[in-house]
Formats: sequence, structure tokens, C-alpha cells
Amino acid sequence: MSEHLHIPTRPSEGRILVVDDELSIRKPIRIALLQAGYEVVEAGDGEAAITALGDGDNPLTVDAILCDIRMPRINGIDAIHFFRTHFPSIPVIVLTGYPDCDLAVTLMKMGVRDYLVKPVTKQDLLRVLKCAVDNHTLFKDQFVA
Amino acid sequence: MRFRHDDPARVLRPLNATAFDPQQTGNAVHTPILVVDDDPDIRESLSDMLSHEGYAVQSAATGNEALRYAKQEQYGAALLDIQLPDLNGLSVLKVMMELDPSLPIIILTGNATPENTIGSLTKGAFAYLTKPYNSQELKAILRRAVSVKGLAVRAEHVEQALQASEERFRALVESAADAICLADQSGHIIWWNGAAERMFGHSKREALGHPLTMLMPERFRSAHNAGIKRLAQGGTPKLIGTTIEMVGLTSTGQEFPIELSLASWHAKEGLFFSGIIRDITRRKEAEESVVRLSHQNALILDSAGEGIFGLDLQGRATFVNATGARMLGWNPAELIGKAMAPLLYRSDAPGASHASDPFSLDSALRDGAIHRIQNDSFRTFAGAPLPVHYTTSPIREQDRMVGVVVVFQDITDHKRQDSLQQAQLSISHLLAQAGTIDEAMPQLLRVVSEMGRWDLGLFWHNSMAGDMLTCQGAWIHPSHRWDDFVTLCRKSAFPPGIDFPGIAWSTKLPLWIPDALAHPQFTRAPTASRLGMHGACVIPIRTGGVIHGVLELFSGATRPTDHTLIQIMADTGMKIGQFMERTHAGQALRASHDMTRSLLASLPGAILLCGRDLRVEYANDLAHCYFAPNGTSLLGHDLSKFLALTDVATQRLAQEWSALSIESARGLSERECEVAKRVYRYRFFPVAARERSQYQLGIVLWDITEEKQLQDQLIQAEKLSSLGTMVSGMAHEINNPAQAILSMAELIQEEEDPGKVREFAADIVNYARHVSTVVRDFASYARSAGRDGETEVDLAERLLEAVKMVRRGPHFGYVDVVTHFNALAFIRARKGEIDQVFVNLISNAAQAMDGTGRLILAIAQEAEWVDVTIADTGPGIPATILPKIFDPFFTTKEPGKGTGLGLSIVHKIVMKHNGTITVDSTGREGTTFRLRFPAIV
Repeated sequence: MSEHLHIPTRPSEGRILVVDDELSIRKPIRIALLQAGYEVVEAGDGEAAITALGDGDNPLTVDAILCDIRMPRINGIDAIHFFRTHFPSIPVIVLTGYPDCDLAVTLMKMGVRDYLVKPVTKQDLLRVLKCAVDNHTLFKDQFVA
Repeated sequence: MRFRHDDPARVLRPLNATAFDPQQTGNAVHTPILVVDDDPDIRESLSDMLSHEGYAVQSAATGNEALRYAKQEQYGAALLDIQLPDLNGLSVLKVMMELDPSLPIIILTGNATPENTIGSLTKGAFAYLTKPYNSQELKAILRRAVSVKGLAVRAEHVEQALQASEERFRALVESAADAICLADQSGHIIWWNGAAERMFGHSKREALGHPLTMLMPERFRSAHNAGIKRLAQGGTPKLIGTTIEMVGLTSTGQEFPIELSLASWHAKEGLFFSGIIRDITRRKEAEESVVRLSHQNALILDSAGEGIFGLDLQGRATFVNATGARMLGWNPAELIGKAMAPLLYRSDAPGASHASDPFSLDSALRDGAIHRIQNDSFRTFAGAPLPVHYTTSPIREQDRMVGVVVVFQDITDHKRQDSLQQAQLSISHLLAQAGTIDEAMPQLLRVVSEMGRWDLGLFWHNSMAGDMLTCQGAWIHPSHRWDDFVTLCRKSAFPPGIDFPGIAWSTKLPLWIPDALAHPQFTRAPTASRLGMHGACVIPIRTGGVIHGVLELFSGATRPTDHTLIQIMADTGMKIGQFMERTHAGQALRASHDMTRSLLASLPGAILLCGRDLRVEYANDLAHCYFAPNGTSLLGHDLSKFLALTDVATQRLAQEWSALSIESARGLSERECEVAKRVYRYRFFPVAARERSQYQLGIVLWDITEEKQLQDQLIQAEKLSSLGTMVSGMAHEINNPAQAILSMAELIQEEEDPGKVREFAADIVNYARHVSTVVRDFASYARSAGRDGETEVDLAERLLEAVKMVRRGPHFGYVDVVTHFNALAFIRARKGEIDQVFVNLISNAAQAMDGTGRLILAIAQEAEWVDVTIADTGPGIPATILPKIFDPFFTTKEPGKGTGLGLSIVHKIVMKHNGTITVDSTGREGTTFRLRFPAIV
């Protein structure tokens, strides 16, 4: 699990779970997020993501989840369903190469914060993620406080 | 009637030897005179004078000439000049006297000397005259001389005649074939010749002096004796001078017929009789046989079947035989002497028209030839027509025609036979030409009725159930108004045994009823009686024991039983029965044939039947329409030629053909071919023949050009549809590297470490390549949308390609792919279509497994077939919908999610490639599609 946790050099802006079966997708996103000051946790499929989040008594807390849809074993939709059920406060952003309007609507109804279609620019990605992380931080502060 | 023979009495006439008889002739016309003188003037004047007197004159100028004449002929007298240039007149006189002593020779001389006168007179000259002579004196002397000569000649001739007569008489009498017998007044035989000896057996000795009565049987003797006595007493002879027939008696007491010619003469001894007797036994026999013969002839004439009459030159009857007279209804005696033509060709009788004119009766008289006249008609005494053939032959008597014999034959029976034969012939014709009994029956009834001269013909048909006869046809003679009866019959139905039809049915035999009204079982008698129906005949129409129906015939007259007619009618019944049996079978056959024909004609497919040589033996209309549009015939054409089959296909067809059987043919798949820009789907089938080795090859073709076009459009549409699905999958496939490329590029922009930049750049290159691969794959799939030509397609390659394609689509997920490629399999196909089949099936399998499961792909080759199996481990197809999965527009997906064409197009494509597709699905162990394609040999 530790190899999937990437910690930025400066103080963390927040922790983001990146779920995608393609390393070629995860790698540049990881680099970009680290540069932007985020901690990055990676998962290669839905199952790995759920395991990461629900691991033991001390579950990993993340501020946002960036999730692909088409993945082996547990696919994005099922994984998101798990996230939204067990961790409703964590914002989920879908990043998919498969633009499907119906699917987008379904996912939004499940409480997905945003629906991004590949390819997406670093700027757009960071904007959406910053917004989500900030929201979650705000929520966490209120909830904890 | 008696033979002509010479009168035997002639034999006794005096012999006629009178050559010279001046008294009889009077003026001595025939008395020849010889004039001898050297002076031509004297010869001429003497000749003139004597000729004038009626003598025939012969002149001579010299002595030699005179002697020549004297030797040749006898003369009544001669005038001789004694002064001749060649011979001495007295010598001439002497020689002439020697030649004919009684010839009176008158000497003429110019110088009368006593010596000459005396000399000549002593030498026998009849007279002596001196010139110039006194013609009166000459004539007187000559007349005297001629008379003297005449006397002398007569005396001489009488003597000669008597002598000759006696001799001849004896010779004749002796040698005569006839017996000659002379008798005296008392009836005793005084002369008996050899023939008489032979005839009666009495020798001359035995006969001479005996009474004539010995020559006749006892019973004639008293009459004979009485006759002899009467004659002796001067009575008138009864028999003398006549020839009588009587009976002779031989020495042995045998009687025989004789012909006796009697004569009598008176001599000084008294009365004599002569009898010339002929044995006429032969003649009698001949006469009797003639009588017998003529009697026989008369018998023959009378008993001959033919009528015979003779006509004289005026056409009057000279004789008529009994048969002829009877046939004509005349008394033979009444006809004799009547002119026959007007009688036999009377025009007063009804319907008097004739095949030939009355003169043909004596036509033989006109040209002397024999004439045969056929089919003429005489009139009888009563005026009724008598159909005849007759012959007229000339009668000749010694090359002169004296009349005609007419021999005629009553051909009423011939005519009837002819017309019966004719009728039977036309019945056969009718039956031969008719298709069904109903078609033939109206004519048939008429012919049968007319044949037997019936006035009503009814046809009773045996019903389908075979338990009732119903009236199905009727013919009524135009002169009868019997419709009521027919109406009654049409309402009637007879079971076996009831009424005439029923009787004929149950007995299976013809029934002849002279008068139906007298028949106790005639149920329709009241109506028949009112209409005056009498004679009836009922004929079963049958084959063997099966009664198909009954013919019933009625006549207005009572009809005596006519066995000939019954036989013919019964035959006719059999004939019609055979026809009905035949048409029953024929109708069924024809119906089946018609049905087959109309089926073949109305089938939407073209049907061709070929022999083993692939030459067309039958082609239906549509086949002609397809392949022979300009009205030519396909028959005899080579199938492979006009179906434009390739050599391989033709060869394969021939192979299949040789192994073809009804059973194996079911497995033959449909194929397609393109002829003249039209596409046909065809299928072979064997046509059973009587012998297994003589199967015909049947081929049925459907024009699927439009279907094909539609299908291509459908395939294209489905392709686009699945392409659409895949394009959305492809978006993912492209967007992912695009994402990576974009991100890497952005990283490079800010990266200062050259090592990192190179690393990112390398990644970008990789991702870009990936994108181009994906695009190329999809482009090739899109391009291969059915319009490419057929090539040899590697099925394993296409399967893997399809997997790759589907894997990039939205549904493949993480399905495991297991391959069992046991053979390198190539088929002839369009690559794009095969891709579509595999993509569709694999994509379906992936969807069914929803991203997880195992996809098993297998290829195996079995003989000429390549089998492809595509199996999944999904939930399977419910049995209820399994039969429908290949139907177009059948889908289990949500509306808008599937076209419902995928599997139907898969099916179509497989069929098009002469393949088959089947599906197994148990509902738990997934679904297995099995495809089978013909391999490339």
C-alpha cells in the first residue's frame, strides 16, 4: 500500500485517491498533483481502491477520489457506489474516456461531484480537485470542530 | 334343245351330175361352141352371131390351138375350117373325134371339093358347109348338132350316174355309222348293213328275211304290225318321211334308244321301206344331263342369294329368278316383259333419290362391258327402298349382244353392318378424344342411340358411394317429345336390382326388353306408357365385375330381340367402362399432374431439372423468364453454362451429384450465383426416378437481387450500429492515451530536468502510437463493410482481430480468452462480413458475461468443412427465446440499446457463404455458437 502513497515535499494541500487501471493515466496525474502539493494515493482498479479506503480499523482518509469507470474486477460504478455509501463526505470526481450522457446522469445522481472526460488539462483537473478538496476540508473542519 | 344333224334321207337322193342339159336351159346359154378358122374376120363374125344366139363361143386360129381347147373342155359343137395354116383340117377333125366321139363337128370350107367333102364326112364330120355360108342354114345345122350332142351326153351321164349311184349307195350304206335296214312290204328285212349288225348284234344272215319286229321290244310290235298292214292296204303313212324316236332291242335283249328315219318307195316288186337307225343312247344321256343341268341352273338361279334378272335390248325383263322377285316383292311371272328401269327407279315412293340414273341398269348394253354399281337403291313393289349393289353383264349370242343380266344383292344387312361398324368406330373416337366421361357422354349417347335406332338414350352413373345409379345424361331423338320421362329419370335413383338399370347392375348383363310396358319391374311404366315408349335395352358399363354405370335405351316401337345388336351394345358398354376406369385413374393422375404443374408454375422460384450430364430437361416459366428472356428454350442447355458456375463449382456439383440421394440431398446447402447482374440463391435436390441411378438433378433458384441489396444495406446499417457502439468504446481507447499525452506534454512544458523531459517525451510517443493503432484497426473494420470482394480468409486471424476489436469496446471488461485453434482454416468469403459475424458474436458473448468470464474460441476442420465455435460462460439464453434469436429485430436489450439485427445478419452472412450456424444454450453453462463453412479444398 505504501508504494501507492505519494507525499509532496511541501506541506500537503490534501490527500487524493486516483483510481485508474492505466498506469499511463495515473503517472502524469500523480506528477501533476504532487507538484501541486497534494498527497496522492493510487489504485489500479475498484477493488484496490475499496481495500485502500477500508483497510483496517484506521481507514485511510482522503479528501477526494478521482475515479475511472472502466476497470477490471470492480468497475468504477460499483466502486463509486461503495464510496458514496461508506464515505459519503468524500467528493468523487469521475475521469473517464467514455463519454456517456446517461452514465453521467446516473453517476451525478449517485452524488458524484464532477464528470470529466479524457483528455483533460492539468489546469482543469487541478481546479476541479482543489474545489473538491477545499469543500471536503471545510466540511471536515466543521464536522471535526 | 335337239342336236342338229343331217337328214339321213338325203343319202338316197339321185346323185347330181348334170353338167350339160340343153333342154333344161332352153336357149342353150351354157352350150360352148368351138370356132376354128385362120381368118380373123370369119372368127369374129361367127363369134358375134353365135353369141347373139346364146352360145358361149371359144375361137381358135390354128389347129394346135383348137386341139388344146378340145382337150381342156367339152363343147356342144365345133365349127372347123379345114384349111388351117399349121395342121391339115382333116387330121384335126380326126384327133378331135378321138377326143370326144360325140362332138358334132361342122366343116367350113371355102373351096368345096368332093374329096374334101367325102373325106371329111367319112372321117365323122357332122356336116359340111361351104363359104360363104348361109347363116340361117348354119344356125339350123348348129342347133341340130347341139341337140345331138346333148342327147349323147345325157345318155352317157345317166348311165354313169346309175352306176355311180349304185356304187356309192352300197359304199355309203355299208360304211355308214347309222344302221340302215330295208324291208319289203311284209316287213321282212331285205337289207342289213354293218352298222346295223353292230348296233343290234344280229349278223346279216340272222337279220335278212326276218321281220322287223325282232328289232323292237315286245310292247311296240303290235302297233308296228298294224302300221305295216295299214300301209299295205294303201293307208296313209303316218310315220313315213319322218324321224321318230323309239326303243330298239338288241340280240341280247337289251333296250336302247334309237332314232329312226323312215322312207318308203314303190318298185315293181311292190312297196319297200327303208329305215336309218341311230343309237341315241349318248344323245339321250346328254339330253338328260342338259335337262338336269338346266334344272340345276334354274335351281341355282332361284336359290342364289342374289337377285338375277335378264333384260332384252329394250330393257324388258326376259327372266327373273325367284330370289330377285321375292326381294323386289313381285311375282316373277308378272315381271317378265316389263321394262325394269322405271319399276326399280320409281319416283313415286318417298325419298326417291338415287345414287345413279336408271340407265345404269342396262349400261352393259350400251358399251358391252360389265358394270358394278355400288350402293344404289331399287324400289320394291310396295315402293320401299331396297339398298343394293348390282352388276350388269352383257349376254351375247354369237358375238351379238342380245341382252343384259343384272345380278343384284340386297345390302340392307351390309348397310347395317357398315353403320354399326361406323358407330363403333365413332364411339372409339369419342372415347379416345374425350378427357372425361361427362365430356364424352352427350355425343356418346347420341351415337349409341342412333347405332341401335333407339329414340332415347340414358346414362346412369354409379355414385361415388357405389350404392345408387343416378341419371347423368340423356339424348332424345328430335322427333320425340319424351322430356317428361327424362325429367322423371333425373329425379330417380336406382339401387341394384330395381328397375332396368338396377337389374343390369346386379346381373352385370345386357337386358333386352321387347316391350318395356309389359315388364313387371318397370317402375317408370306410367310415364313411359303415356309417351308411347316400348322397346328397351339396358347395357352395363363395366370392367370386369365393376359396374361404372348403365346405358338405358328406349324405342317408340316394340323391338324384337336383336342378338347382334345386343352383342355390339355390350361391347360398347365394356369399351365405355374401360374408358371410365382409365379416366378415373387418369383424372387422379392428371389432377396430381396439374397440381404439380401449377405449383411449379406458381412457385416464386425457378425450377430446373437436369440429367446427369447437367443438361436441362425441364424448366418452369420462371426459369425461362430468368435465364431465357428472349423466348428461347432452356431445354438441352448446359446448366453450368447459363448459371455461370465456376469450374470448381461445376466439379463439386458433379461430385455431389454422383453421391446424391434423397437422404443426402437434405443436407445440401443453398448457394448463390450471379447471372447477368442478378443474384440468385439456389439449392439442389434430387428428383426421384423409377430407378435409383436415374435421379434427375433438380435445382430451384430464387432471385435474391433485391433481397441481397436490402441485406447489404442491413448489414451495413448493423455494421454502423455496432460501429457506433464501438466508437464510443473507442473513445475510451483513444481518450486514455490522449489524456496521457496531454498530461505528459504539460509536464514537459514545466520540466527543467532534461532527463525527465526525455522520459515524458518517450511516453508521449508510445501513447501516440497506441492511438494510431486503435484508429487504424477501427478504420479497417469500418472499411470492410461488406463491399469488398471474396478472398481467402484466415478464420483464426479474423477471430483474434474481432476479439481485439471487441476488447476495446465498452463491454469486454476482463473476460479471459481461451483459443483452441486446431487447424489452419481458410474459407472463401468477404473479410468484412466474416469480421462482422465474429465481432457480433464475441461482442454478444462479452455483454452476456458482463466483463467477467471466459470466452472460448475454437477452430477445427472436418473433411470439407471448417467448424468455428464461439462459447461464453455467461448466463445463457432462455429456452423460450432461443428459437427467435436469429429473427430480425428480435432483441433482449433495452429500447435503443440494440438494433435487433445483429444475429439475424450473422445468420444471413453465414448462409450466404454456404455455411450453417447453430446455437446451444443450456441457460447455465453459457452459450455456444457453432458455425460451419465449406473449406477451401
